[in-house]
Amino acid sequence: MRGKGYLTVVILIVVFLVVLNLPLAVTGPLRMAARELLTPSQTVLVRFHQSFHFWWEGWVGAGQLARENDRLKGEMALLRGELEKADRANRENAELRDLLGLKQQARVPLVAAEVIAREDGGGWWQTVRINRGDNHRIRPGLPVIALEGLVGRTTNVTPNTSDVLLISDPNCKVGVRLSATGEFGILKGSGLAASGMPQFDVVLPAAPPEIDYLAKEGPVLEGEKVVTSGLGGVFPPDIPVGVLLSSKMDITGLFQRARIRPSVDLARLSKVFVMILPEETDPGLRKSTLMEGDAP
Amino acid sequence: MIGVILAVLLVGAGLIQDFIPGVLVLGQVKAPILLSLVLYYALAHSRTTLLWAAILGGILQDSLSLVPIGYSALTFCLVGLWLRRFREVLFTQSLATAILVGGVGHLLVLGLIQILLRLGEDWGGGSWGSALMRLLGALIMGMVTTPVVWWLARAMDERVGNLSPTHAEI
Repeated sequence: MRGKGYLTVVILIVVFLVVLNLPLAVTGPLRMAARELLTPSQTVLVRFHQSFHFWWEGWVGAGQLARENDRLKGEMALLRGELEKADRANRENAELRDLLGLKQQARVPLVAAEVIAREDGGGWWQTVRINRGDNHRIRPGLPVIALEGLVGRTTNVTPNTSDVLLISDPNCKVGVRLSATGEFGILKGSGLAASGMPQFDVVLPAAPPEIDYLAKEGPVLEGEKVVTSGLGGVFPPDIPVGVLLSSKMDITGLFQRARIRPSVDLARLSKVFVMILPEETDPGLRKSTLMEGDAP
Repeated sequence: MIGVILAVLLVGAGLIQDFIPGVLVLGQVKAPILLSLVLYYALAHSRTTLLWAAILGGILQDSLSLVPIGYSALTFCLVGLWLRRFREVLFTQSLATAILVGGVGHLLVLGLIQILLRLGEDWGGGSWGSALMRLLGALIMGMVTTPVVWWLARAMDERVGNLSPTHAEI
């Protein structure tokens, strides 16, 4: 019996020595198979959860919904007027561009996706998984946005799923610009996903993402909007990222640091859009792609 | 029949574990449903079944995260085999056992994976504070999740006749 026990341990050690060192070519399909196996059930589960959530909200807050409906109708009327103005401005812009001989910026196609799973079990990385992948033209390194602004970028992609590394992850770096002052910096996540829930902020202040390398003499205004700079080749310019909360000089005295509140509540993502950038514009993306074995 | 139930439980556990988000105030640690299942098999079934559960459950868990494949399987096996040593002395039907085993088991697994990630340079971020918070989260989440998973797994096993209700070891 004792000999059998040792044998088990020896077999176990041998198996794990092999498994822990398996190359990507072997572990990749294994990972893909497991994800693809669960994706249909996960999508169903998420939709069921959303339906229940909507039903519950309707049941509990019917009065509030009616008031909100009224408010939204008013807001919609205002926005229609704004839209007409914007249309006129666009037409004028197009005519002026034609006169100056400038090229029109192509619209980037978006793929809508649902969040079907959130981060890994240990909180080591800030990721979500979406139910769109290779079959929907998604590849690693593409920007992911929500209606309110930037969410992150795609990493591991299988035929029907993709992981999205959120901007709250320390490994996700984004070139940003302060919209009012035009100062440039690099945004880096600070670990925990920032949530808009005040009750969590009381128990544990969620660490907001931080902007490094802002010019030391540059003006930095609290409440200023932060957008992507377009530098670095991963994220297109002018996607809203967040609002500047506070700033301070770095300990070296060479640059300023600033903390921001992300535009998107990353803890409550449900629907996102992947920007399908043309392949030729992102030669550097594949290098920055997270692959198994790389430090994500 | 044990194999079929094991497969069904593993897929269901993986699905639910992946769906439920981690708790922010506990270092974003998720409910360890797959691990709880492995701990159940460590006490209720043979060593071979335990190893199957640990290897398949671990590979499934790693496949659904960014952790390199094999880390969870290795730690599940080690913790499962270690727990099995105390099979004769534990009151396996007791709620207190499930809470204790779940908490300590998840703490050990998360700690070991964190060490493996550091050694393998697969993950370089995070402070000592966040690591400690994660371990505390692991302890609490293990204590909360394990009794529920054990109850469900035992109910399924009894229903299909894998364990007799009167002679159930757990």
